[in-house]
Amino acid sequence: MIDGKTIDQVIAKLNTPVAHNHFFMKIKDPRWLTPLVENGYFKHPTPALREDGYVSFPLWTEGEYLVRVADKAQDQVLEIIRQLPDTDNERVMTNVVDALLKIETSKAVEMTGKVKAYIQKPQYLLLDKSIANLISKFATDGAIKEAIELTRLALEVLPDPATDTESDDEFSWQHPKTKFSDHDYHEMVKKITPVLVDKAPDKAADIYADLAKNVVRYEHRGIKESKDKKTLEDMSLIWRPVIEYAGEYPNHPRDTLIDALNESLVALVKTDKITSEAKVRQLNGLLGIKLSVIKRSVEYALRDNHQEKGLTDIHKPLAKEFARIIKRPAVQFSSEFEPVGNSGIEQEDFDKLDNNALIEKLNTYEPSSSLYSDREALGNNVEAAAKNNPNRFIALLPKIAKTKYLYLYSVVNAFYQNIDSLSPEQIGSASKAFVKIFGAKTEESEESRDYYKWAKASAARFAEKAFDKSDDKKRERISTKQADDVLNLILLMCRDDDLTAEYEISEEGNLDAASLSLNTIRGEAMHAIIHAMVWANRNKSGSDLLDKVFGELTRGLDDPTQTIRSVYGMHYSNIWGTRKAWAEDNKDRIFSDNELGRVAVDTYTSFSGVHPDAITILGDVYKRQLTRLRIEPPDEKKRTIAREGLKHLVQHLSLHYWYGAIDLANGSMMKELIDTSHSKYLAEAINFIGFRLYKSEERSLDITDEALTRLKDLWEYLIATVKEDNSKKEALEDFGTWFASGQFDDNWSLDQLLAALKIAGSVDLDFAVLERLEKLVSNHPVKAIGIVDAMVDGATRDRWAIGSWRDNAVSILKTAYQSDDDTVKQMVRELANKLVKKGYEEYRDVLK
Amino acid sequence: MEDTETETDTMQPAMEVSVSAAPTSFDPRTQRLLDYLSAKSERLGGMLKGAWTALGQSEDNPDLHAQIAHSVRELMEKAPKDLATLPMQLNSGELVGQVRILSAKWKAAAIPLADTEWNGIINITQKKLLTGVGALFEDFDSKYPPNNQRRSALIQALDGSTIQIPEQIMAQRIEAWKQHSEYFIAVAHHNKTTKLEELRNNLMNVEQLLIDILAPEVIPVLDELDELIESIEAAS
Repeated sequence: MIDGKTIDQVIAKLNTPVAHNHFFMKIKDPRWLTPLVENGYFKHPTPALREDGYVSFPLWTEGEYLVRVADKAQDQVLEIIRQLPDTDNERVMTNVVDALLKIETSKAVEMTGKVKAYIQKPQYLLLDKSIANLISKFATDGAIKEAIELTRLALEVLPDPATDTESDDEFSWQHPKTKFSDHDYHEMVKKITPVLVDKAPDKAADIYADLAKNVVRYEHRGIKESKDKKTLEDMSLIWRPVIEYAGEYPNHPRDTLIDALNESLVALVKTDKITSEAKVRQLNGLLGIKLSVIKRSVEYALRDNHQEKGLTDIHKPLAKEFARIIKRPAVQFSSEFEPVGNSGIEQEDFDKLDNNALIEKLNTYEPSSSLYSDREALGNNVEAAAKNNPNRFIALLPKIAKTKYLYLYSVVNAFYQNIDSLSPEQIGSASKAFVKIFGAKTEESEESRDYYKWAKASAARFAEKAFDKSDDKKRERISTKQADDVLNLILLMCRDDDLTAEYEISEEGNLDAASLSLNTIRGEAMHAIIHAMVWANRNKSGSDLLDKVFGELTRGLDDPTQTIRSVYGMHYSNIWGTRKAWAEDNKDRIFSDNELGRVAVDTYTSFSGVHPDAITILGDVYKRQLTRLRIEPPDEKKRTIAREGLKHLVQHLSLHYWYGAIDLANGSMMKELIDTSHSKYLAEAINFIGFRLYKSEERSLDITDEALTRLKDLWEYLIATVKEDNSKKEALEDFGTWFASGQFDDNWSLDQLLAALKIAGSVDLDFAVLERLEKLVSNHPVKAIGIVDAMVDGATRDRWAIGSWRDNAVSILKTAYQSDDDTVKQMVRELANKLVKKGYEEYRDVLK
Repeated sequence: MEDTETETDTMQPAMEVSVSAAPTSFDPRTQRLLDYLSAKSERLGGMLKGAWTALGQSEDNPDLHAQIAHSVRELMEKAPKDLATLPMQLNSGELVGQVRILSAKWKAAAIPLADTEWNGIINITQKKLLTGVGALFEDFDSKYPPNNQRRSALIQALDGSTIQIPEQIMAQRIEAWKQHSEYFIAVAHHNKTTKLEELRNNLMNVEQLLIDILAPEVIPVLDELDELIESIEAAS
């Protein structure tokens, strides 16, 4: 018994959450139970917390105590569980199940109904282990009925909630739902199965066959009867090529359940606790489901265990039906786990075919099934052969082009991939052959259009690579003799018509202009033109080739697509470096004041380094863009070239300011940027500069005093601006990097950080800020504690942030608490108290 | 209501109300709360100070009780706005009432959309509509919860802790908040007569409630609890 006076003293102190939780997490003695029950505890489990569309499950410390004493006060805890109201908090449910785990099974089974009710709730994030342990305990202790009931409910498979019965066709795959994550489900089955199989293999086999049937049927609606109507074809030859191995996704509920079914069936056929007749009856029942995968599982179980009476009769027809796949799986997987088909011819034999036989093979080959990519496998034969003998295939190209475009693509791709094994002459010959093939009129067919396009795109990439140096950078891939042939191929591809403004619109939100330039034939060809320009410049090849290149660049300025214009922006500095006059003359056309020009600006800033003379050359272009920074940037998730471009524009300007190319005077670009830009762009500027400062040592940056003075001026101007216009306060959060860099004098940085925190509420790079505060706290305790206090107050938006500050923050508080100044000590006491109140008990130590 | 024009047009007799000076010092609990409030929100500090200043005035002031109660009522009303970011709307209007009625009808209809076996005759567009309506109500319920849930969210937000307040403590706090709030509103609106001593006690209760929620001194309490636990469990 605990005396009433002590209980009253304790209860009086449990009026704050931290005291309440501290007490219940600490007590271990079951004698507290009675007085606590009498004082109304254990009746109100903490509910789940729903906030901003998320649900969380707060700790119920009273429940934690119940688990701790459940074995010592079984009847009392059981009574509390019995009286417990319904809950939506999974932690409370877990407490209950964990307590039951410590209570004798004969008593705990009374609560099976309560546990079943928990399993039927919609959220399953925490319960998995406890439920699996309880089922295992029940089964082990002979409570088979209750164990089976809980298993069926816990492992239930439900149809894909997104299934749209009207629009989904029979070929679409669904995603059946289980109550737990795939991993947790897998672990549960692993925990439950051995015990169930040991105690009741027949029941385990029934459960798993039933669950497997559901998962297969809910996953694929195109299940059809075989011609002889004996089997339901469930595509398991693809997702489970070998019945005894789970393959790539062992955690997939489908494979988890097949594994468990295999294990149960093997145990069933081996057990001597069940008669042969009962086994035969049960196996025949399972075969009645007719699903191929269940039949295969039965066959596997019987494969080495069919000596008993009646079992051979079951196994024999199954062994016959699945003989082919028992010996060799229908589908094999490459190293990337892609299913690989079979062309029916080994590479060695394919290489031996003479030209006529080879073309004949390509013309006449028909795969036995379209399911397993067998024709693509023949394309792989062609590609490998072309890599082995390029001369033969350069000569054969015209004939191959008349077979199927898949094979043409295979050859072009072989040359593109293996370009470094080709001589300059071979590259030239291949280019000429490509010009003939792709320059001729082709008959397009639905079936092969994609391969034809892919072949052209590969040819454009081939040409681009031809003008580059070899991969080891030791040699040019072509000489002047082949340059014209390769350039002709590029010019041909520059006339391709696959890219239109309409196509760009259709790709909106998927691929931006810069990405499209690398994924379209004409875009790729424009990149190749630039490579040809750089090659000509590098090799001093005379003006003829360059004239052709710049002729095409002039022509391309009339192209209506953003994709082509993006290439100019991307390579403007190269163009400037090659023919300054052309670049200057065409600057206003390239960076025109319309959507096309803006794309060129965005790709320029995104892909070009910052050049010291850029303000002189492109200052007016930069200035025109500042109005674009006034509106909120597009959503970060929607990665567009405009978003990236403007972000990089801000970085370019910040760097020009850093080095003094622009200043903060009235009318300057930097002042306009601060005065008028959206807060997110201001944040970008402060963050960019801050990280450069923070990483300066790592990057061996030499930062001059003049630069630091300029940056201080910029910050002070920004903070003054934000004080006038609070909507821009977000920009101040990025001062964390400036402070952490240690580049500025201590007092200035501490004052600015505190000012930023008081306005913005939080700072980025908080861990680095605290690391620096740790170094400064001895000399500046008041400011350091003030800053940590402001960070704690500002952490409401990120409730988990404080937990990650522990090591540094405890050290800062401890150091400050050593101060002789009573004011500092009082500040530390208040802050430690605030942190403990918030649930961070580790700060109690600070005052010891 | 009297004609205010007449009041301002005529000279009124001098109001002989003795006004005592504002207290220069407070007891430690009041001072602790005052420091806390003043640091976070000048006006909240002013309200608490105002309440104590009014309490120190002579009872010759005929509206003294209402003035004291008004300061405390304002303090309780403004504290959540100034000290916490509330996850929900605190004002309900006509629309809220309408949506609540509709929400109840929706629940009463109990359309079993989640029931995979149910095959009521609705097409996919109707199903999407119904699902959307359901989502709207769910969102509505989370943003415009009933009074007790709103008070609970308010107290959790004021507490500012990462710890979910245990239900037992929450229930006590909700009840105390409700009672005191109603008391001070009634007195401020002249709907309840009271005595100065009762007002003082209730103000002190509100102070204690606010301290427990906002700035309790927890470290000494944990130390004391540890000693009590040790005294019991060491012997077992």
